Amino acid sequence: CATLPKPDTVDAAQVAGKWQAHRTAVAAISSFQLNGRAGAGNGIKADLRWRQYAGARFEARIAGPFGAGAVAISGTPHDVEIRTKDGTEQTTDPEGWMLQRAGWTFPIDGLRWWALGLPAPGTPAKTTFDAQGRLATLTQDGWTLQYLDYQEVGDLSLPHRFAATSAQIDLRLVVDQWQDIETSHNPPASS
Amino acid sequence: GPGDDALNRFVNDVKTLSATFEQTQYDEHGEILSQRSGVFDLQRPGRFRWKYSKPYEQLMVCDGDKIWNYEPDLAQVTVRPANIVLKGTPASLLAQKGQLGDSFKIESGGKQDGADLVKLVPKNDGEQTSDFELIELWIAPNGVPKEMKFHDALGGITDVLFGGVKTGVSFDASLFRFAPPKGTEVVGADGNDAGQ
Repeated sequence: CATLPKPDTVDAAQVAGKWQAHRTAVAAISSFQLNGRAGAGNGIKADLRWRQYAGARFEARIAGPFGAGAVAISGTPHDVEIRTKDGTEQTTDPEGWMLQRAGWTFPIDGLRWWALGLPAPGTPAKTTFDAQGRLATLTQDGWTLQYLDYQEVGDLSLPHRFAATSAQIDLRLVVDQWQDIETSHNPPASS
Repeated sequence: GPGDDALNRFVNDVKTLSATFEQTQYDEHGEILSQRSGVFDLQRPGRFRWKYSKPYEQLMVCDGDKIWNYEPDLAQVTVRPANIVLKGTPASLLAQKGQLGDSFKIESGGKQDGADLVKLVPKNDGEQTSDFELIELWIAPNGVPKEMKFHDALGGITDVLFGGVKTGVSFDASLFRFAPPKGTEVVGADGNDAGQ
């Protein structure tokens, strides 16, 4: 009998092309806010609001059910101020601070890119893509990201559920809402 | 005082309760963090079910011995001893009064349109510090909760408004039991509860 082309062999060049187009569109995002949730492998659950400003500045608000143990982290990934019920402190290692004080952590350094489904610029990354040319898995800076599904936000496709694993923690994240997405209007590099 | 009396009405007179709830979370600037709704069922002693249905599902079930916390989007269930998790958290205030006294000072906030305002001020004595600045609970004359406000450590507020409250309900026993769906990771934290 005739051998049918296997449906899932999407042409690699096609995927690469789709990835370039997708990446260019998403990389134009200069600021955004996401509201979501995180579940750590040890059972800790938290609600997360992440406000990303143009450049590296961000504000993260993390809390358990009914707002229990609310914590605010703001600054740039390696120089943050952390506000808790005990007051305010500075740290250059927010991921370590979270692990030690809250019993879980999340990729504070990389989230600005990884939450959007992009590798961070400037460090090596191993990537695989889905048939639509979007990031499926990413290994970078000691973390492995697995993008489980995407959601349409305007004419952009942004992550909905993804897993983030490092030596210290297994994390599942859900983005319930994308908001205030601003794109930088300078034309894409390879116009 | 009146705060204690109102709380006792809730704990002693309300053996079973079923209600819907609307929950709105505000940050310290009054900006809305989330809006959720669901159903709350309570059967004393110690059994309750807190189910968020909108905009996404999340379920907490306490069978008196363990608390199951199921989040389909995260495909994960945590199961913890009820007495550990309950201390100093909203769940303790719902299920058992006994523990309440250990974790909170009970004060009266007077009457507000017919309901008694009970203020639960965390004791924060030594080793056990609460995750909240203050919990407020409005209780109707018949002992039924009308509203709860959780004041978080950053100055934000989680406001829970109850509606359609029914008491003297007979529940099917299975309501307060939980069987993890196939393919869901069950995380059983042992006694030491590191986080929430």
